[in-house]
Amino acid sequence: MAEIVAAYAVPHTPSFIAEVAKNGVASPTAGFFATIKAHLDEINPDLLILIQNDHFNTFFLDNWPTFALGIADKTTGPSDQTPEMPQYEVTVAQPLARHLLSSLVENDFDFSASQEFDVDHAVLVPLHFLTPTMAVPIVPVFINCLVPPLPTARRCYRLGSTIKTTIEQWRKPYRVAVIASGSLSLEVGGPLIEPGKTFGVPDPEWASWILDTLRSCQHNELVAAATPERMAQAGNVGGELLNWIALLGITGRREPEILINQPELGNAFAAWTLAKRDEA
Amino acid sequence: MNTYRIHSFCRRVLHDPNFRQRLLETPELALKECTLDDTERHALLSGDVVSLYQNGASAFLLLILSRYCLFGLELPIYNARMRSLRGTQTEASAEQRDLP
Repeated sequence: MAEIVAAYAVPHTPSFIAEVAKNGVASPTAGFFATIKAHLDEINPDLLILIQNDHFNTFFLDNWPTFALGIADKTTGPSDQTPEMPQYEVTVAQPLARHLLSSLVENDFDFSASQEFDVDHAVLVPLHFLTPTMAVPIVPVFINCLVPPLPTARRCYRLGSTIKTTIEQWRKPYRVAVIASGSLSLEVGGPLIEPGKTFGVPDPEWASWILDTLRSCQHNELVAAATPERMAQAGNVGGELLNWIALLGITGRREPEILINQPELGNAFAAWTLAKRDEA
Repeated sequence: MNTYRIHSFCRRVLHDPNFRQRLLETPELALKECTLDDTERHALLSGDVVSLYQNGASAFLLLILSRYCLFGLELPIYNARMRSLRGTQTEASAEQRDLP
């Protein structure tokens, strides 16, 4: 049977690519991603699930999914001119994608599925830093974190736990890792941006409290608090917390092994080991 | 104002470099390629992101106009205009908007 062996949560800030290219190891962000990459390299998974949100690039408002899976045999990107990011082609783990699609629909999650799609920075910023050779096949899971009405935090948490269960029921010998990406407090382009900048971090205290609930495994409290109104107070992309919450449904109530705060950007980095390699 | 048209326009700016170039060189002419009403066309041409936002356009998508410095929206100008909305009714009702 397949199993989920590790879980990660990281930011997908598009400007990280150019910033790290410019500052190299002097960039704190480079160091944070290197810490997560070392953990992932040790885990060495066969397949990756990316839980993230599109930013009007893969999908648009003519047909906007609440939950979607990419089930092509490959994908390319970035589709949004992420500054200084190379153009990548990534293999999609199509058997896993199709297993997830049928299993999740069977479990009452009515997913959309795309057989031809490209991906934006939400998928490729994490991969650029964590699997830069793009050698590990991926399955992108898209959650609507931007366009009201958002799915509830409760439903996203249950989506995560259902993904875990359905992977464990998959009759394949694969070791799967999951990467969620997104910010905890972030305003992009709106009234809450900082002077001279394209973004702002309106609610660092909320971001900090979220990390407290991760440490203390108070997932119920986090899910109850993460209403659309509360997430919107944390910025116009504050709904990206839903990607993290879906990941917590996968990890269950266990403390992250790595938890790095990046409060000035409303970001954080986290890692959980969910199974020992020799148990695979 | 039809915000879907504004959002579609912003998306085209991001994904269509030839259109973007025409908008930089001859904005009024390039905008004639788009289905927009007079209010929408005027708001775009004058870089009036305040009224676009107040009428429900997405800040996330409007920022694309500043990214490519269209309609005089270099970042300091875009930033000042958008920040002028802080604490206003528009901001207070942000959660009621169709889009962020």
